[in-house]
Amino acid sequence: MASITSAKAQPKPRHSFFQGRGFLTLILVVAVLWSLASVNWVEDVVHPGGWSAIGQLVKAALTPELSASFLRLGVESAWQTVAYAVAGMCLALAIGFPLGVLASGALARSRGARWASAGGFRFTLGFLRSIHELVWAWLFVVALGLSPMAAVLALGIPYGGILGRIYADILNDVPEQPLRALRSSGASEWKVLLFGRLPMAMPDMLSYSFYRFECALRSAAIMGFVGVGGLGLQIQLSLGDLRYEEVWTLLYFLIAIITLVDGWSAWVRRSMTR
Amino acid sequence: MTFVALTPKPLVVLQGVAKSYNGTAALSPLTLHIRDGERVALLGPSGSGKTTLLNLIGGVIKPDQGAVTLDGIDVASLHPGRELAGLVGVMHQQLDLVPHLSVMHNIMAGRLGYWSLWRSLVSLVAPQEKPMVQDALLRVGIPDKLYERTSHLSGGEQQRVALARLLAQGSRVVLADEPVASLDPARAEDLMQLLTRIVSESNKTLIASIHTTHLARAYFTRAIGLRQGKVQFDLPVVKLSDNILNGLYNLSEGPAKAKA
Repeated sequence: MASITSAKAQPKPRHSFFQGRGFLTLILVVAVLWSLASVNWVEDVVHPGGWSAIGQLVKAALTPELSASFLRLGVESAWQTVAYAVAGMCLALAIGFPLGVLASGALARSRGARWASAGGFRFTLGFLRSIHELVWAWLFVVALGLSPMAAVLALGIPYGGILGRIYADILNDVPEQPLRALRSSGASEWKVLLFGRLPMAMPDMLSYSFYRFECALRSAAIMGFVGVGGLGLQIQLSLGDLRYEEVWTLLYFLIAIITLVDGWSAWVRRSMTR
Repeated sequence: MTFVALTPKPLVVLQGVAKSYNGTAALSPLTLHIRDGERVALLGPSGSGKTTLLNLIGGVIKPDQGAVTLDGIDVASLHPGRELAGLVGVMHQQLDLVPHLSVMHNIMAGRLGYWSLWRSLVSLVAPQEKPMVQDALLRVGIPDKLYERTSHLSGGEQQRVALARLLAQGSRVVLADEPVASLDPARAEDLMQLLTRIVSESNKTLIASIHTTHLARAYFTRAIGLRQGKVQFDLPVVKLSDNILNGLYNLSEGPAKAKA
């Protein structure tokens, strides 16, 4: 209260218009309008014939291809994409969970060991995730050919790096007091991990894993563009044939999958806090 | 020497123990014997060395000189797992429970010092020593909360779960650092009643720092007054007088200036 009244009592310093916020706003608005005016709207932004293409796209969105044979193709390629994402996430969890625990330094007894463990494994995780999944995909397609294995490895490796990094951070951010209490009742660092760190970190870890699974579905769809099958490959083929109705059917499949996963993750999180 | 042999062997012995932090003495050389079944209240102003004393007995910190022995064994030589956990346990505030686990698992955590890693892992899905856990929960008076998520319990109930975990740990000495400092007077009284009942039922030894002198008089057998790391008095609680207490808490230097 005291601070409010004293602030009111103080006379407000007066600025002229040219020093104030209003002047700055005016300059910015003029600059934006001027830059917009300098754009050639007819030819630079949309190439000739582009407008009709956009029209076709919008029309196609409203009239997607719904023939039985194409829907079957859509279900199959959506299933393939989901399978890649699930297999890729399993690999990512198998990499990310153990490396994440080690990178958190939670199992190290001495300060030096913790520093070495955290440093070494965080570096490993950083290496795994610094290469994008599409680049991994190219590398594995070169090495393994157009096989599902290439897609799964390309997804699993960078995602393992990302999951591990986030898991390590979540495990480190757990409140310290309950852990100290566990240690004082004779628990080793392993048991503290089992009965303290992991239970406290689990809701956040789970929620982030679900988000990553969603990302994995999108990435698995994109993988198709490299040629390894799934929704992405079909989208690319349909785009090549300028069959926009088919493209939209496939995109709707992708949206449906993502929405389902989102609902599933919400359900799991609710049942965990109950 | 024959006289010493006749009295019961002391359970907790501090022999010339001293501790300082950055050159400031937290505890001046101090010798203390505490027998099995005693309930000792540590009194004294903030910074008088109560917490340091508790941490030394609990093996959390090591003395600069002297030795702390529990049942004749040097604390420094005890294995921090089952050996130390069986002898001395720390009573925790409710904040020290794992809120995401069930009450059952929080109580089981008191057994971790005794269990192998494998058994600890198994007990997350197939609870081990469940009858013992149920018994501990019964003794703190909330037997129907076994499967409840700990975060869904009230503050008072969580405090009881923390006590049940201590029972599961089964240590002979119970240490408590201001166990009721954060509670309102009625709840503080409740908890002290429960704590002293449990401690005396299972013939444990209680050593607790406490700020409220009437609680010390009501629930303890012996009072030790600390001031600037030195023992000012060490008396049965019946001999605690207001005069002595005023001297302990008086802000001016030394007990001699105390005005009764």
